[in-house]
Amino acid sequence: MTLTSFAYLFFLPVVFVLYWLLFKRDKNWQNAFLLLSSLVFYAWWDWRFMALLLFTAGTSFFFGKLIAESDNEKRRKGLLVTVLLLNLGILVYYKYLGFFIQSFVDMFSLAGIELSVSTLNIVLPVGISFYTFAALSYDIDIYQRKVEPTKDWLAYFAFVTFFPSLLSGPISRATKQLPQYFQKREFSYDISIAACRMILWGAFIKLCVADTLGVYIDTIYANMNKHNGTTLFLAQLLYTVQIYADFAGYSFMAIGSGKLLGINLLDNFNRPYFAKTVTEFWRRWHISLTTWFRDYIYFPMGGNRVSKLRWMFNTVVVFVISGLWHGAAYTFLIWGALHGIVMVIERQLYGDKIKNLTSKFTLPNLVRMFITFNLVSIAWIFFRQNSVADAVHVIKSMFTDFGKPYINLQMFAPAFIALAIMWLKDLADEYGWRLKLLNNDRMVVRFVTALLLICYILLCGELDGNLFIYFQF
Amino acid sequence: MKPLYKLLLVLLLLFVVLLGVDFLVGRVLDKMADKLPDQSEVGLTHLSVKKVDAPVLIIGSSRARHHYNTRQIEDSLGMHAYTIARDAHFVSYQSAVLNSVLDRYTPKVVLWECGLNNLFSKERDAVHCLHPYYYDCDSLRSIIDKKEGASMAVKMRLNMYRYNGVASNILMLSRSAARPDTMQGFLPIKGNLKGNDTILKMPEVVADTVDAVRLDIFKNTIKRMRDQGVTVILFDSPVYELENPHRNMASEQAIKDVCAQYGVPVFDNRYLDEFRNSPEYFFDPTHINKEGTTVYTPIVIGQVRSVLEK
Repeated sequence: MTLTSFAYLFFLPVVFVLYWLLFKRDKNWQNAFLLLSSLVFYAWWDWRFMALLLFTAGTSFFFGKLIAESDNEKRRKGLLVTVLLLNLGILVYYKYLGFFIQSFVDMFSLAGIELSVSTLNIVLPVGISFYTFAALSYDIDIYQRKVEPTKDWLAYFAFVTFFPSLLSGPISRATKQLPQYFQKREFSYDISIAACRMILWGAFIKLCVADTLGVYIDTIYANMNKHNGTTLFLAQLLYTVQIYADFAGYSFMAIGSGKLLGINLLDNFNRPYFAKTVTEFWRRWHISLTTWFRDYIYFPMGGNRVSKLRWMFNTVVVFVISGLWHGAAYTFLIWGALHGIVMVIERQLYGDKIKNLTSKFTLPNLVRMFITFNLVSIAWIFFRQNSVADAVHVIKSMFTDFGKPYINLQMFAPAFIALAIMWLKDLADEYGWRLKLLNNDRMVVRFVTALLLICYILLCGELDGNLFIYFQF
Repeated sequence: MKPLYKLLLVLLLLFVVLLGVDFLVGRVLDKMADKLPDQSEVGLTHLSVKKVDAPVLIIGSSRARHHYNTRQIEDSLGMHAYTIARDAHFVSYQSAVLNSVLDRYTPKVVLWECGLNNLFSKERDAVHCLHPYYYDCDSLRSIIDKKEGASMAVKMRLNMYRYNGVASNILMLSRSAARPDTMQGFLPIKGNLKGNDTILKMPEVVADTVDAVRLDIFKNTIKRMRDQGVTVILFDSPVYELENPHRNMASEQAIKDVCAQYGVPVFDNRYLDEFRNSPEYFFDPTHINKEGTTVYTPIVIGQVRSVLEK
């Protein structure tokens, strides 16, 4: 079940109504029902991996308790390392083992030694990168004494398995989300209405922008050699938009679903393509992941309180790890490294001014945005392509093989109208312009806007289409 | 009123208004679909399901649409002919359209270019563009349900869902996609193979399995046509280059078995001598061009005659 599936259209309202009508007695009832709903949601996808999810939640809960009970620093560290190895071990097995073995075989092959290794067909449990990180944040926070361990296992399991964020985030953090499960949630009309708007907007940009553009992009990339560089350039620009609409759309739907059940999830996107530098881009893109890496990898490595050379190294390493988090492939590694390198260069160019760039609508800022958008777009080429060779082919063609781009008006028209609506809303939100539709003061306007968006989704959205791009991670 | 009930009431109101709008939109689109030009893809589907009445039908995907000169076949057989093939729409679509035709009338001859490889589960086989006709024909509905699941019966209650993805074409009356050079559904292509195009890049379907649902749909359609006394002839038209050495034969065999069971002749014309090493007859490795059709159609006519004269 995905958040845009037909099943979810029934699942969420049923959970919502039962939650607020039958299970509102106290927090234990609410948590128990959330846990049950989350397990049903996950099992709908693949029940075989439910044990893995419960194992991760169980070990992190148990080890968290042990870490907190111990006063011996060595033992505390040992326990943390054990739980990290346990859970990261599972992640590595499912996500990276095939990649490592293949790299090993390739390395020998370069030296002229052919190794015969049977291909590992390991199925990646959906959401594993997201819930593992959520669970690990709890143990690390306890180790760093940022959070007290809980005895309420029900609350903890409900937190780790919370279905709106289970499959593709936002990555939950114990410090921020867990306390919400320790108290009874109260229904709020205003919050629920705002949540419905978020879900609707998320569904609109996912189904009408991301998925409709996806049809074109997939068509082009499936026959890459048949298309000229101009078409590949256009497809790449559109992919830059697609991945934003896809992931931000999912995040809005997840956050909205969480709000409907009285749980606030972390914000994940803040109009990233209005960023004026790549550094700023990462403060606006996949915020829950960026802050996770910042707090648990970048800061422990010394952050920026180290020598310049060490800081450069730290930055690139963190982004390479971030790239590998997305997938076990050289393309992701290069994608991460490119971002790290550009951030280092930006820091050299701007110095400390990088933190204080104004957000006004000025020509220099527009130029900065344009450059940042294109840098990010070029990096996405590595993210999207199946191999480094394909990515290099796309880049080469873009700058050498000019021609008439392949455009299918029938396919494009609905996507571009939706894209224009999304862009206008983001523009208005970014600069505080008064363009309120879904949250207009007048009820009629709100109602009609919601109705039109639903009609547009039903008529022009890609309803039987793609999964979320971030599902594969 | 309690806040929760207030919210549920607002959502209920939205849903009721949505149903009203949906009813109106559905009516408007139903009317507009009738006015689509037949030379457009969406218009051709509408014609195929609702209007076509020719005794000779040519059906398939792009290879059927571009390879069979309908008028030449009509003149030769002395019966009205029409091509109801649509680009990139394969066995299930073609079967659903044929079933909708059989619900309305019984054609005398059906020339079916179904593509011998098209039963593989990894090959595309969408029936999405038939959603607007879900309630028009029982057999078409059962094919959509088989392909897309039982939940379609609920989804299709919404008119806007039925027209999903097709509405924009209808609202533009499909003018931008209309091809005025289409003649009775036949659309010749101009141009020749060039450079890299001469290398055959057919998808290499290796070790894939035959899609059981697709095979079942195909078999039932063949059976129904034969039961109603339709002369069905299967074709696979020329491709440039030699046989793909990696081709898995399972799909081909499954189709041939069904045809043998129901007495349907199969003409596998993919490797005809006339077309082998003749790039001037091809637009790309899998489509023959206008010049190619002038050579190919007479061959087809001869093959049809040989069947009809038996």
